Amino acid sequence: MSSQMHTGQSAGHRTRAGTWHSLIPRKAALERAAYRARTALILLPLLVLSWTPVDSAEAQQTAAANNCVSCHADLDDEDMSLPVFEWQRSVHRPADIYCQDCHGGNPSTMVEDEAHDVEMDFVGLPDPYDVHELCGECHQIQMNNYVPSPHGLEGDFWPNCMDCHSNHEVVFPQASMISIPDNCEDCHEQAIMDDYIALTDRGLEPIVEFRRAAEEIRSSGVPVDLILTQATLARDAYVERASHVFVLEKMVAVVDSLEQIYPSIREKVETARTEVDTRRRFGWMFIGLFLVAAGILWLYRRSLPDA
Amino acid sequence: MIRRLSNEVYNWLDDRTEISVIIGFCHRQLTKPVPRHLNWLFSFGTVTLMFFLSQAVSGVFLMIYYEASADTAYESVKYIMEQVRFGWLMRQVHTYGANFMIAFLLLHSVRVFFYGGYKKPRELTWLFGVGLLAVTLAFGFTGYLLPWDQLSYWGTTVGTEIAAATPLIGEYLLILMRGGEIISDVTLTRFFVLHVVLLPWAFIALVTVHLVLIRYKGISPLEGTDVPEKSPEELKQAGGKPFYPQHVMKEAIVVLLVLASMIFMIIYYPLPLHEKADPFNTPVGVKPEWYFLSSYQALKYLPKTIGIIGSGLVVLAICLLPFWDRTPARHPSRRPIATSLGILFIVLNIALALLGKISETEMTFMGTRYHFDIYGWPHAIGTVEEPAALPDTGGEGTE
Ligand code: HEM
Repeated sequence: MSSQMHTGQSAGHRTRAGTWHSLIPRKAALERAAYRARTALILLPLLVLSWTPVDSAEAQQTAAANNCVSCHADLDDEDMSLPVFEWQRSVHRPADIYCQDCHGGNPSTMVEDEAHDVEMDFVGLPDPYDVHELCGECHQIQMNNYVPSPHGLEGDFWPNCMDCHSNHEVVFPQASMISIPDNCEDCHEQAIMDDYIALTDRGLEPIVEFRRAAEEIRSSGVPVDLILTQATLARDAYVERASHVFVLEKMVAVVDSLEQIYPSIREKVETARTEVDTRRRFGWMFIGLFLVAAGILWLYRRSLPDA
Repeated sequence: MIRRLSNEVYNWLDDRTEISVIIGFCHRQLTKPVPRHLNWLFSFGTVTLMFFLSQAVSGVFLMIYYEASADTAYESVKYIMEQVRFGWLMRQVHTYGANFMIAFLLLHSVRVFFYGGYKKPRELTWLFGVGLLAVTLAFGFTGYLLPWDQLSYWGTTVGTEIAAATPLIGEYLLILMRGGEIISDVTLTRFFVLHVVLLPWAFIALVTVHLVLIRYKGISPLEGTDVPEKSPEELKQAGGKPFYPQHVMKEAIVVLLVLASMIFMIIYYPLPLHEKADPFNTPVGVKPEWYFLSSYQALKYLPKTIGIIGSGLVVLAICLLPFWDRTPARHPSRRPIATSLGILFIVLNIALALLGKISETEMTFMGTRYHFDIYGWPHAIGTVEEPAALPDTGGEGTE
């Protein structure tokens, strides 16, 4: 029953558009694309425009063509308007994830009833039990790890994605969030959470540190591609095997194996840093040389007889 | 002994080549006195010239590895920066050198303007100077595209679009510059040819005339054009010092200090190579280089055609400055109107450039987040705590 609303959404697609819609695989992501294509068919001229490299102003206009935002931003009820601003600051806006992607409805009309038409798959509040499927359309790995985890099936999908990552103003996972009141404390003892935080820090902080160092070093021309590739591989491994698993023992194993390769990456970072430092030292040598030369010329000039 | 030997060699050479004539000429030129009022500001022209030479040298090194095609340009620059021995240095010297050169070129023009150096009989020096300014800006514009990264690609897209607004020939001009509808391989090769063949020779020709004219007429005095200019002998009497060594030393000191500061910038703030150009992905807030920002911003406020015609007129006015400003006074305090207008022009340009810099960005002032639109005007977009914390893990991607 819990997934009724969501599957209802896809069923709607199938029954209504029996002809060419049925050719499209049932994958929800593809359905979304199909939905867009349908909208685009209506707005064919706009589609043509969007295929030529648009400049930033035009790109902003397409984003503004989302009419949910135009109305909701001005609503007096804060519960209805605030999400717009939260979404605008979120990572979902630049990623082109719009209201209709989670709430359904028709974003291309200004008529309230049409916008909220259930025929257009409008769901007001997505069912909390389905949220992971909604997010999982894009964040598949996270969903796959989450569903069999203690928080997933076992925990009756509580907490779900939104409970930790918020909804409109999507929050990136941060270890510090783990101790937020009402988030984990209700069920978990502080000691467990401390262990968890320590573990994520141990697994992820080195990666952050490697990346930051590499980006800093990069513009100086010292090669850092290898560092970045290895950091990405390590992060992917963590995401795939440890994130959203929520079983400490499994995670410890992953982090332990990652820690085997961190020293070699750290060594590469250090080598690159040393190279940058060497360049700076030589740079200062030349600066010193030039300043001394300038000083000597200045003294020489002063010693010249006044003509 | 050595002296005798070198004397003999010299005489032997002179018998055959009359080299003494040339040497005598050079000696006279070098020791020609320059006016007393020459201060440190008068070395900016030389600094610019030094940067041109430095650009030529570092440019040749870059050309050895650079490959001008859309497929290879970015990779070759990356290769130069990361693999070639001292390649990073050559690229940094060249990129920073370009910026420094333009900065000092602008300072030099400003200096000439405020000292009335363009006035009779130095109108031609000014005209050739304006030509050099155009060529140098063209160097900057064409060179900016060569690394073929996102910034250069889209910066050039925006830059060439400006030309398209020219009445009548705009479209034609755009196609001519781009070699097609969009910036492509074709654009890259023609910019490359301009950058490494046509512009350098144009520069050399122009700068030769510029310098010969300066040597010939001498640096302008501070008195007005209605006072006859002093001959070299009179200058000497009036306390003028020989060009060499006095003034040359001054210039050498400035050159050394400027180079030292450039090295500082290179080792602490190296200019990066951004992401590779992606014709299908427009980054937000694309802007041209800083030296084009003020005109770019000015064009936003005006209707296209008026803006283009207007800036054309401004350029024309600058070219012809010595012909319409024929007042005799040279000293800046004796021509208050010109001086104030000059200051106004500079302030206006800096203000426009700053507006251009902040346009299409967001900033937080005292808890309120502002978005600056394309005109640079702020719009509050809500009170925000700090923007959402940065990704801990570098962003959970859309796997
Ligand atoms: C790359 C470009 C340029 C180079 C290498 C260059 C070089 C020089 C040098 C070495 C001088 C001797 C005096 C001094 O340095 O102040 C000079 C003077 C002069 N320059 Fe330039 N210049 C350049 C561009 C310009 C520009 C853009 C203008 C004007 C728009 C200009 C106008 C003049 C004038 C009028 C003088 C004579 C000033 C006087 O006699 O007081 N030059 N230039």
